[in-house]
Amino acid sequence: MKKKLYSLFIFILAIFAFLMPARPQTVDAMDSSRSDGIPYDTLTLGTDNRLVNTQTAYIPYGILNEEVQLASPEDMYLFNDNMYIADTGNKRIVVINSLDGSFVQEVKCDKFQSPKGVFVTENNIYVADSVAQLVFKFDHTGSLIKEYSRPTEPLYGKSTEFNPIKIAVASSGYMYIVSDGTSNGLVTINDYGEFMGFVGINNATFSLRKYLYNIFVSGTDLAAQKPPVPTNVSIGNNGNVYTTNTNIAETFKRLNISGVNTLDAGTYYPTETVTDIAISHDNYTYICTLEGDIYEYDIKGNLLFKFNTKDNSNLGVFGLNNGLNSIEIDEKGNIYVMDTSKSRIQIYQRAGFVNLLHTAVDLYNDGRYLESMDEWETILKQNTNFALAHTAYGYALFKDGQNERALEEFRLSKNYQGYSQVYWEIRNQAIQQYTGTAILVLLAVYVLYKLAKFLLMRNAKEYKGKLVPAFVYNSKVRYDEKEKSKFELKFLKLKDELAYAGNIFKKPADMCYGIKKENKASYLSAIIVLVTFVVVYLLDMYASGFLFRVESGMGNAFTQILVVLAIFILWCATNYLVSTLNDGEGWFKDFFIGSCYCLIPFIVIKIPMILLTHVLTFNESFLIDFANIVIYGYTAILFIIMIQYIHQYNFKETVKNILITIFGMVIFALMILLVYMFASQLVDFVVSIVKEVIFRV
Amino acid sequence: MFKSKKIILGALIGALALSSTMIIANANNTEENPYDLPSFYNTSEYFKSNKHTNKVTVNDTTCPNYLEDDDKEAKTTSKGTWYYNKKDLSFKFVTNDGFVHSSKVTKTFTKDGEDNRGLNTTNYNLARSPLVISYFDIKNNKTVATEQGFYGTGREASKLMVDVDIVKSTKNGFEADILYTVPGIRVRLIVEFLEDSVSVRVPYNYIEETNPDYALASIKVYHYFGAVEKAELSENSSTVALQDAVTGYNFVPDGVGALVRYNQYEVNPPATYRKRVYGNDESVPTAASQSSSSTKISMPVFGYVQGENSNGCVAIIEDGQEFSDIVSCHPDGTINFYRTYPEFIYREAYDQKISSNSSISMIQKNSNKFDIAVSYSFLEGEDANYVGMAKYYREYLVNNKMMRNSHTYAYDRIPLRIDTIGNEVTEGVLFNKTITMTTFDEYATMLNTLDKRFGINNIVGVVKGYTKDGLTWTSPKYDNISSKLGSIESLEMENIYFHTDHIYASANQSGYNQSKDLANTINVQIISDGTGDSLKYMVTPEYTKERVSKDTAKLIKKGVKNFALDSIGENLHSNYGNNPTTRDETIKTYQEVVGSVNANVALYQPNDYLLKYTDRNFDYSMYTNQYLIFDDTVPFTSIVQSGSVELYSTYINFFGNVRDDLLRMIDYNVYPSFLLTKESSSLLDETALQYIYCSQYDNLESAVTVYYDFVNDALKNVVGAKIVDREVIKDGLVAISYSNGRTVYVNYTKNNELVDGTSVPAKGYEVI
Repeated sequence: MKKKLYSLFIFILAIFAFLMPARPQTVDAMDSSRSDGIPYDTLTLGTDNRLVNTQTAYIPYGILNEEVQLASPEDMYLFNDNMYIADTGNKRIVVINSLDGSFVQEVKCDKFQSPKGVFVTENNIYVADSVAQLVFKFDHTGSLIKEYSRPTEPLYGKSTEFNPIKIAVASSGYMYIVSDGTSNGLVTINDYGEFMGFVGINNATFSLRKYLYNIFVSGTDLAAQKPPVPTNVSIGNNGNVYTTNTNIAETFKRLNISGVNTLDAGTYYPTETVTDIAISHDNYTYICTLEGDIYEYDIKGNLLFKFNTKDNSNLGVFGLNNGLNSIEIDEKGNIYVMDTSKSRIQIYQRAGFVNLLHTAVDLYNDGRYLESMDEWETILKQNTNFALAHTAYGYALFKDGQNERALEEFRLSKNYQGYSQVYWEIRNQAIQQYTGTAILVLLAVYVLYKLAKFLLMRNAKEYKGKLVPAFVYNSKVRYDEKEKSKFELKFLKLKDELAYAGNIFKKPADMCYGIKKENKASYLSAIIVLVTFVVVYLLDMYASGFLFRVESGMGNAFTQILVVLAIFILWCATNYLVSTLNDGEGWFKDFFIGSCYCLIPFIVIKIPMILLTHVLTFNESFLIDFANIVIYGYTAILFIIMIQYIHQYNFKETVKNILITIFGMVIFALMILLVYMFASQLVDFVVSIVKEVIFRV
Repeated sequence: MFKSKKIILGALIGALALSSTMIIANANNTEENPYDLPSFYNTSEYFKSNKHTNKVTVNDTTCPNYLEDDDKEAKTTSKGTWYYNKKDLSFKFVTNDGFVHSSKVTKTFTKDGEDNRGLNTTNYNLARSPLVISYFDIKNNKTVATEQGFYGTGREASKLMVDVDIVKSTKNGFEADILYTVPGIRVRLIVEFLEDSVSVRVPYNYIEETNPDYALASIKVYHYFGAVEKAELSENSSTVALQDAVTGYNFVPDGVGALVRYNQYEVNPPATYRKRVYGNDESVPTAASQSSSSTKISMPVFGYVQGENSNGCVAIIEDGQEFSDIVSCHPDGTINFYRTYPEFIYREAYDQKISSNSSISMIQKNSNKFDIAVSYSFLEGEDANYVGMAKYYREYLVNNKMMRNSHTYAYDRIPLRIDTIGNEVTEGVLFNKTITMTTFDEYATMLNTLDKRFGINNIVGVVKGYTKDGLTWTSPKYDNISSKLGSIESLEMENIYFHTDHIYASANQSGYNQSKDLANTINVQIISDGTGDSLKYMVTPEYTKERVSKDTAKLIKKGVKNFALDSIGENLHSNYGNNPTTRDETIKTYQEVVGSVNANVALYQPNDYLLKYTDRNFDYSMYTNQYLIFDDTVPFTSIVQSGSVELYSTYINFFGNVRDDLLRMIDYNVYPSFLLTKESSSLLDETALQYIYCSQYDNLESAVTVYYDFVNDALKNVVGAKIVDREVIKDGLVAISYSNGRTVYVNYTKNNELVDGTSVPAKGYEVI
């Protein structure tokens, strides 16, 4: 018997194992429409900061160091058509002609241990060596002029280390040094070797986890809140210092003199490990990452292009890399990137589309919107998903007075500020144009209404204390005389119940009494209110004006409905359970109806607001904000009153009840999650055992 | 006071309504501006890379092989003499000019005595084994296969590890039974010497696995056939001078065709190339599987040239190709040989997932059943290059009725392929939302405009997404035409293809049976592709067959005359689920499927076994994967198909460097293709087609006409002709000769060039 049961159990499990849905095997596919021999896709920013495909911007061109063998090079700097390479593994600086890849010169020094950073000025070559803990200054013949060691000034700090890995030198001779492990920011040293202070310290990230660590763990540096050390430094054409960072949101920064990031707040920052940054002569910013990405930004911090050159096949593909450690850009716009693990510098050539885009972006950033109009139009012909182009073209059209087209462009790029501006203008024109007509029309309607009323009321009769026109009177009287069917009676009752909901505005406390004791509302009326609420909630989400539509990102309407209803039901159920234990007097029905009726202010105020959002701009957004405050505040107060009167609590008990209910809801949710997780784990475990048995035997 | 507010509100609403109608009524202007077509006029510098065929100065070549004492003369033909070595079953062919083709590495003799050519004993022993097998140790469940040649390894290096029984040995070749003693696996090798080719076969019937503890994994066939040793660098290492070099290259059929040149100086040796013929089997995901996003091998051909235009060899895998890898090695410091060979896979190891985060390694239980047949043919003189190989293979295909000799199209302007999208479906607020991009009327107007206004009258049209399920959300089911698109009567159906993709079923669509109609992998998973909106599953070949016959029959009744069958030409997967099929069975099914369609068929990048059913090849990719092991890209597959199958490019909409790609189309004889829609592609932004970032006709009209004219002016001269020769005159300057006597010069560089009195403009072409 036991054996039989056992085998039955195994049989059921086996069936279960095979009924388990097969897991999809994922294969990454390439769309044939993109196979133009470029081994990567080029992306740009579409709407909502989403990366979208665009034309290939940079084409693999070749390998710079085909004739010169490098060993784990860490940095390079392009100066006057010569590429200065920190050939770290070979402990030298090697210079290669960037035009033909030929060997030019080699800088060696006995003190080199691990030269990781190089920078070149008109007169000097600077080398940062973290192991030697020195910064070297050479002249262009390769003879050592000066060494800079750890600053001795007390300001530098007693225990602060000095492990220079990257360096950039301003025209003033100030050296900005990235020192490994020095989290105070960049070390600034002047030409004489005097310490000039730290610049560009990153913010320490703060998290709940760290906070908890700080409470419970003491004496360890697990919870140390040192800000991340910058990973690289570069100098722009007008002396701006750029840093790259990891482990913080602002993975690259353009610092002003006091070390504050001056990039736009809306800048799209790379999320990968940023390793280097370079600024071209025409002020475009290029960034490379350890994951093989290359980014290009304009001077304002708008992302223009991103492409990933990671070689996932590991076979070595022309134009792909393992990871990138350094990036440079030449006058023609060719990009040079260094792959330390492959000891290789690859070159990418600029495609025609980039030149066009740069012309347009330069004009746009100079505020010459009208002049850039043709270019943006052409760009949009080539790529309709380019958000920046839609925005820029929108501003150009706006300047040109083509407001409607501008509005459409801003709608396409989801540029709300621009849309608001243009819409304000359009609305203003419309008001000026149509106010007179509208007033006349309204006046006419008013006069007609009065006239009709006057004519109809000439033989008015009194019905239930109200004067009504004769034909209305006749039909109403006839209706009253008729015997009412069951359905009609029910309908009338429902009508009364719904009308009773109106009391929520006048006397909520009485209303609760009515619900509880006088049976003045029913489940049906409450559910109708709830459904109306859900509809209005959805309308608010999907039918508000363009400027005020908040996208929740919670899936489609059905998911939204489910979530809202689930929370509501959970709220009612938990409150009933909690109140039963806490001497609450209300039944589930009372509380459910009460809760539903409390949603009425939302319905009543939100509907006109939704209509209003279609004609408002951001200038009047305070109206919407104010309405929202009223809605949520009012609803909260109503809920408190409702709970108080349904359960006959005093204020203190009410607050307690609410808090416990919310707590209970969280626990409920957690419990469901836990049960789900354990159950799926259990099923997974059993299924895996059965599967293993099946496959092995 | 209150009323005046109402009035203002009313006025505002009125204004809104008015402004929105004005937006809709906004007209489009199509006037030319100087910045149009930036990457056509703003060209980029030519650069030397493995993207192009490079000019290599031909030096005299030395012969890499010699006759040895054990080589006995077997047969003399009009082209040369065959030698055969009974001890290690190797053979050699000495041409009348005295060049020695060898199936193994021959020893050299230096003043210090014998020399193993820089190989250690183990590798040298492997190098002279005709068949190297690898096997799995099933008893100990070892999922890494062990390699076994004719000799032992390490201390047992001199020990013979096989029993060779020569069953038959005649002048025309030999048959030998080889028993690998340790795994107890017996195979029969049949070699037949012909006029100037040799056929090597290993029949499946004779393979015996006598020891149940070991299972055959793979067989490498003559893996040093035509191997060439890397030449020594001269003393002065900073200048690269190669001495005693064999000049030439190995040909690898990756993508459009690639060359691995001998003795190219490389700082870091590139990785070995290995790829499954016809792409990976998606149903057998192994660690060695490569990303499917790369170009595939569509023709099972490889070869070598030793001395350009003097000696070469082309090998065709005639049987078992769907189970073979083509491997190409570059000298790597240990084995300093260039070689390209096939490896035939009988069993593979794979991971079986048993829960969401654990898996066990398994070995394929049943062996793949196939015969091996490889034929090596020697090329001489003018034919000893990749063009000669392509011509040889073209003849092979035509003779075996695997490709039509020539297509029947004749016109004085080249065809232009214009694809369009009808519907696309995506998730809406409550229900699915259908976006109509182009109606049939709009499409007809588009084609009409191109004809009447620009004289482009030879258009091959493809309609995509014409069903109510749109382009991507199909189950696959193509038996209806959406009423949203109007009537197809406005289209001239003679030249319009209706697009279907019967390989994938959209995850967002029901209509197929999850457990019955979807293909399963060997580790019991379904095969998916894409994410979110574009998530789709691969269906079984049987389901493909069922749907194609139903759908095409219905559409033919509705008046459809041509079909463009997507994916079926380039996908080859087996099925381990319901109705299991192996790869070779899938080939047969697909051949039946395509052959049974009662209308004209165009295929997308078809593998060679489907070529005979079509004369139009869509979305032809003109590139290889550009692995660093490759030195050149050559238009091998395009030469093979020229004159027989028309090649159409991928969408020019998305070319980043248009001028160079147009020149390449002229070079490779590929016709232009565009994707055009009536509505703006911004409507597709939140659908599975969001990668389409430009497609609106009004935006692309100038590009279509300018690019078409550019290509047409060159290729209209050689319509229907076959490519007979292709020569790189200097880097970036190519001459392509056609069977009708015309020659097309293509100049990729930014300088005007003068060739034989003909001037070829910069980034342009000249036809004489």
